[in-house]
Amino acid sequence: MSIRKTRIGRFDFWTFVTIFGYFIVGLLLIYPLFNIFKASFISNETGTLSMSNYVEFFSKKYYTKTILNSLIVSFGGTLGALILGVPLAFFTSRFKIRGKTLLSTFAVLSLLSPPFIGAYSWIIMMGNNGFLRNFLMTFGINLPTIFGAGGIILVYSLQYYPFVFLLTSGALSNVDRSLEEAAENLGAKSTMRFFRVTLPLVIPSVSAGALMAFMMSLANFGTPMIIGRNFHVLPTMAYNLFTSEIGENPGLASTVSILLILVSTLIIFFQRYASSRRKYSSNMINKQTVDTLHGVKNLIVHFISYLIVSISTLPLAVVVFYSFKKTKGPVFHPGFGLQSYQKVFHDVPVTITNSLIFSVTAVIFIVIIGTLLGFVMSRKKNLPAKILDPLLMIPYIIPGTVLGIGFIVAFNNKPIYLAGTATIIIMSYFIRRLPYSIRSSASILKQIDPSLEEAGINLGSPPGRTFRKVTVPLMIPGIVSGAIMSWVTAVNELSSSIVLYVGKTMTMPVRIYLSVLDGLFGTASAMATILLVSTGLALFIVNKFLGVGRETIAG
Amino acid sequence: MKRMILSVLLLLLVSFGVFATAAAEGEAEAQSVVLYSAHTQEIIDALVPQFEAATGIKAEVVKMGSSDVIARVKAEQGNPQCDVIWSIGGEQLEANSDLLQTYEPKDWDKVDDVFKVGHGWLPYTGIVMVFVANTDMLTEAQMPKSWTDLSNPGYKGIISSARADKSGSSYMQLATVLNIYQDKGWDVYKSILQNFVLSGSSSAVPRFVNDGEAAVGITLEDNAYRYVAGGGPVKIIYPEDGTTAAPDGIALVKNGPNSAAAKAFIDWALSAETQSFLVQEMGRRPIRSDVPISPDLPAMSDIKTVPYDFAWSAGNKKDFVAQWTEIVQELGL
Repeated sequence: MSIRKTRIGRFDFWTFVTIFGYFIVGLLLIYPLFNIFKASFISNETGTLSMSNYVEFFSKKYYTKTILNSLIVSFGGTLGALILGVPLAFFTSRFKIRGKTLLSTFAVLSLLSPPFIGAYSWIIMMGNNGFLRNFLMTFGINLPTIFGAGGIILVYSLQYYPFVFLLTSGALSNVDRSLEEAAENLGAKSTMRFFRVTLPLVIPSVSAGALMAFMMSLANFGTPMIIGRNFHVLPTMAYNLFTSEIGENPGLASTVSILLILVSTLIIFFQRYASSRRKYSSNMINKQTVDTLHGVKNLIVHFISYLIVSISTLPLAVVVFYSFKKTKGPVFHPGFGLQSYQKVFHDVPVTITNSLIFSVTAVIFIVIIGTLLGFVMSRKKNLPAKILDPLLMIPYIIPGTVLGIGFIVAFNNKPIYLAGTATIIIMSYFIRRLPYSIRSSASILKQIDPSLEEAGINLGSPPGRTFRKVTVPLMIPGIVSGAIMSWVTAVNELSSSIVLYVGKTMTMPVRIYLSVLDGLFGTASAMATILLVSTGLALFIVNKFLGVGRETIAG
Repeated sequence: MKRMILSVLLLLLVSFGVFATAAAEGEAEAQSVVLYSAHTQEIIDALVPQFEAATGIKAEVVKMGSSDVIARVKAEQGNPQCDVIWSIGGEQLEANSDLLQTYEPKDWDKVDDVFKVGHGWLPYTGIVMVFVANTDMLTEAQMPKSWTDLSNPGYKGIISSARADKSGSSYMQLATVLNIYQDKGWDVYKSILQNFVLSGSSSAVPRFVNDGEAAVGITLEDNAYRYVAGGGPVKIIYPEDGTTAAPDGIALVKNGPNSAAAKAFIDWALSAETQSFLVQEMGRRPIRSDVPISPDLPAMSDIKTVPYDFAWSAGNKKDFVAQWTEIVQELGL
């Protein structure tokens, strides 16, 4: 791409990127969501414009309670994700941990457990008749069941801590070591150094990870659907109101969606405010080293790291185990067998190919566009960029189902007919996962001193070229971790593809969900295992590769 | 550094290229038919390969809850994607017959007259509403015998049922209780409902009962039967105060893209071979008079059934579900 001639008056390359950002928001978000917004003001009874849906929502405790419920589980899940993610990131990036690549691959893998099957694993372990619960009971340990708010918080923490982990490790490896050394020389003990120097430096990334965990928790409907029982949150309420055919109340469902958007917009502004008060950047002259610990300390660090990853991998282990259990019809029997795999053999090749094509295509676009927009978000302080930022965060909090229905309505009428195509699914992956890439690019940029770019521009390089030659290379850890997160979550995307898929565009998560929905845990496990192994393998390779890349930078 | 970016891009492009060619090869099929179905995935997995082998037509199945099937077909009216609606509750088809194309299948004279109740849609199999109980958790005496037994406070939180606003069969169960108890129907149903743990799909109900997550479930006979046949700790119970036996439906979608293949699919689904398979392997009841029922299931004459009026249940669905929703909200379910 030649950018040299794009400077027309005050128009430079970044103006073009900003305009393109608005175009994406307009086509893929505003246009489909406008219908939903309009619908929230249309009375279900009379079909005329009114506030009746909002009145109904706020006059019934059954509905208003869902706001509180959503906040409880989202904050709970975020806190859990921080408690698990930050120490793990610190340990693995600062100390020599045996099997580190494997550990971080498994950590990311727990993101991979598609929400429905992950939650179902927890029922098998910790349900009324859960084997883990029954086992602990023989020792007199009487744990509560997984059902309800506590269980949802547990599942969210274990599912979303990799966001915090990935972003924090990326940032930790970019912290200028001289700052920590200075603190050390001034007599600061290691704990104090961590809380007073290192942690504040990585706060933007930690809070970006926390924000992701929060938004994912807020928009998740799979987990509360399966283990929430009578505990409803905003997305499950919207989903139930949207998809029930006769009791359906699209107006009220839209109202719930709009409120969801409102809640998360507030949270985003809060996060931006909190992280804009802390601005640090370094030229990264002094790279981080990895310490080798000895004795008890070494043991503790290893134990905690492995414990966190093991517990989060537990649901996946259950899935793999059950996929090899002997079955007769839908019933599990003692012993092992391949019946579950035989049953799915017919259509797995097509389904997994679909999943890979759709997700990889989406990620290519996400990486390119997300990196560019991430730069605009964090470097351009003009009004259009400031407005664009929260707009681009909208996909975080639109329940996938709602966006999916918005897409079906918007893109299956004149002039665009896209229903039933791969394009519509790729578009939904793209717009739903774009924020990851933007966020992680923006957060890594907060650590890169803009003076490096200014130097490039002062030396006569146009903005686009400076970006390519100076900024992008410095951003690589952020770009790659953003790409991994986008891809992992895209390949596991369920809630919008469930609305958009047709037979020939069936993806693995959809296929797995349908089986779980029918209680066919054997076949669901078999397919989830196939998905896990293929994505796990890909991740492992990329992770190994990224590890090599990091050493190259450090060297 | 630069090499690294290039390699990442290359990796992505190469992997994309490989998969893209793989997909392109898979797409060169001659004839195909698009089916929207509420069938359990297990039946789809068993039947689709048989259909493809028998006719040479490629079947693309989109599986959804029956409400979602209708919602989707409605949403796509401007540009229909679906050819055949396969196995969803009769009253939903009855209520939406404007979306459907009338079709008289081959062997129509072999179909039992009692099942010829629909307008615009065809009967597919006979289904019966049953209870399913976990034999490890309940003794024979503790198991419910009738709909009214389900209101026993001892069952609180251990009866699994699908949501009546989501699942066609769950709505039919609600309508069955209203049908049996007439003006006392809502009182009876409300006292049952307060013991429920609700789920999205009726097919998952016997799974919860089989796994000991619930002691009792309300579901379709064939769903429960597959767990009995699989050797699970479950037992089917036919309510003493009566139940509904009715066909689920199959229907041609108006202006579907592959009309000829669609008709071939319906003919195949209603053929004696397919019906026999559904009876023997899936525990369904045949709609054809020339296919015998499964020896493991009781004869229809041994089950107390109450006549079910599709026009009535379809016509009242909006009101009934609204009332159901109100009670669910009141009970905080």
